[in-house]
Amino acid sequence: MIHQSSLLLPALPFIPLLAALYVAFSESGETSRRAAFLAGTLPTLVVTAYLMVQTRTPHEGRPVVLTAWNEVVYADLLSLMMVSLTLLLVTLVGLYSFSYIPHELGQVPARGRSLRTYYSLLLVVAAFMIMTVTINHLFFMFLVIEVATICVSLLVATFKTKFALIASFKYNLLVVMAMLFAVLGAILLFGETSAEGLSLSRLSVLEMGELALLVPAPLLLIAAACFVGAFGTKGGMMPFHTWLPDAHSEAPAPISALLSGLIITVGPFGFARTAALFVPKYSSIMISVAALACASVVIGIVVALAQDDLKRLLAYSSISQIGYIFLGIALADYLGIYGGLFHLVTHLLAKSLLFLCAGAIIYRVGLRRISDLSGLARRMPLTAVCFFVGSLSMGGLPFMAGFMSKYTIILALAQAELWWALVITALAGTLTLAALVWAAHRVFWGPESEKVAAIPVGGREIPRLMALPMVLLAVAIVAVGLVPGLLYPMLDGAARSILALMAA
Amino acid sequence: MSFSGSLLVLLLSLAALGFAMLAVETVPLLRSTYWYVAHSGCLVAVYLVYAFDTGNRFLFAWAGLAVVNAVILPFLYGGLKYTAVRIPPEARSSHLGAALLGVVALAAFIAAATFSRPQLQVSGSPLTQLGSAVSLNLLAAALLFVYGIIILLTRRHLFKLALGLLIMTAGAHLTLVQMAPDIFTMVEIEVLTKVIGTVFAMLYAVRLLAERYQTTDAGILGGPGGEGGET
Repeated sequence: MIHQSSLLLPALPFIPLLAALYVAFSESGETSRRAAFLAGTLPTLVVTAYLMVQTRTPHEGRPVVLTAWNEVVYADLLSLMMVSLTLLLVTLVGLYSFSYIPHELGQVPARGRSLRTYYSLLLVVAAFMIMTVTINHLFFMFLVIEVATICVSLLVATFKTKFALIASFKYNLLVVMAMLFAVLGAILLFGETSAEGLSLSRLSVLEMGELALLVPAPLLLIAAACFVGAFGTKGGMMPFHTWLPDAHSEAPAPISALLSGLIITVGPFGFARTAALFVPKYSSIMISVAALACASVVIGIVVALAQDDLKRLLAYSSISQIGYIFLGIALADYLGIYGGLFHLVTHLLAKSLLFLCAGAIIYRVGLRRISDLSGLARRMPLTAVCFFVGSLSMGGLPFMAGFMSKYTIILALAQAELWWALVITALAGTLTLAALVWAAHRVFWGPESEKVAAIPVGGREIPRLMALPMVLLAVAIVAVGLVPGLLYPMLDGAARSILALMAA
Repeated sequence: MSFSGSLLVLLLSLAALGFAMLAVETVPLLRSTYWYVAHSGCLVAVYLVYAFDTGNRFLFAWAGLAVVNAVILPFLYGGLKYTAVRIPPEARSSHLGAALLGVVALAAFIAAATFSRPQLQVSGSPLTQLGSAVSLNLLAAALLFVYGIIILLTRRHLFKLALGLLIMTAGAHLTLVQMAPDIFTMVEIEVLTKVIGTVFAMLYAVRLLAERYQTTDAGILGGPGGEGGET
């Protein structure tokens, strides 16, 4: 790999951070707050696109990675892919929130301050997500993950309802506890290498492969268990998932979209970044992770089938889908990693869309129990179409984005001859389709339920600012489903980045 | 590190464990906060002994971190004391917690008795004695960490869960100090995140719950997902 110094790279998180400061402390009106929010995300997205072009262009036939600050900041295509997804989703969630959050907050005391806090926290989350994926140091990576966790937990508690506060507390407690285990794993590695007088005190992500050769097997296995537990918890994979259904269902809908689409992907990302510790010397760890991921895929969707709360159903479905991503990466070959990353993107598009649709339903009719909802398609045709697009994609229907990513993972499983995993994932795919299409059918089709009929007809379905992100996500799902090659350059480079670290 | 310094660290670590147990088992929450301050005070002493004994200036930063734990956090707005006085005193000691506490205390006693016997012998190589003492200190740190996990697994009072996280963090800090005392960045990490950010955010939620629902018992509050409706 060619290491190229970049001044723009370390500046990336500071743009949203500056905007967050402005939003938090400025007493200006709603319009300037919104403008500041967009100024914090859109220019950063443009800079990221430029950096992606730089890394995508091979230098003398070798892939390029960008570095800064003595390689403490590091970005390959995987990092930049995550940065662009972060900024894209935060922008869409922000646009949606412009109408949704003021409406749901109502006329509470200190409403202006609540809104300022909300938007600034959203920008801070974006900044720390960017740092998470561009930092080349294990301890600092855990630091920024924890800071992002604190901000997200405050966002989960935006409405300060009883269950939102409990969910926020639980999320904070479990994820930070998990990160404590990750720190402990890193201490074990560091203690061992420093005792041998080796110069790996930086615990750089780039040197993980080298570290694996130096640390004794028992110690490495304990550290591996700590990392898998920590990233599994952050990702919401079974059996570390207990925070996820509560936080996803009790957070405001746009934050649920952010949690499910983006925040939980830090788990598989961190796992991919540290996988060089286990591969190729301890490949059995990857098989164990694949088995856990398969359990997550099946149990998540089986529990989802039993849910009556629409947001909780989507939350359990996320536990299942994160299993696919972990499974793909755990295969540790090109096709598997490509499929895992592909599913990370398609899941982000579809699950964010589904949560935004759930938010639209709450906005319009104030209900979220599936048994209370029926016949909404006539009142909310746009939301119905978007929800079906998201459901069909998540279910893996052909010509939808989710189909291609799941199909790639299944092909990778066949190539790796993991037939048991292939059968499980194929079966779980069918169950996902059943769970989501069943939910969509119950909510949008048939005659209107009593509770829905009691709500006066009239007015616009949802405000334009809420509809725009939903439509964009739905269009993206269909576009990727019809032309999956659209994402190939980005995913190919990202998959090769992980393989390069494993081979280092 | 010298043998006497190491033994002092061991005693202080075990005292920190004892105060942590008292903090968790004490029912009146305000008194529990003061036991927690005593626990953190022991940790400050541990780091100072380490710092003076080894001459490692980074360890003074660790001591500073423990001061944050001991003094600032409990009395910060939204901190332990502030929250404690607002929580109704319905917290009761959990039987499972008490049983596990007994197991940990017994393990600590057996381990201390087993490992300290050879160290207290006058004869023997000082290097061996030093090695054993350092291992024993690691064991004390591990016990603190494990005790924190036990609290998190067995308690349902949100205030005690926050205490559990702090105690678990203290165990990790002690381990880190012994295995990697030169990583100064870790001090910043811990101060910025777990000690101030996370616990502050958690106590903020606990305080709001206590003010609105007059309880912070997770069993009484119930779990999310039961009621539907977002606001």
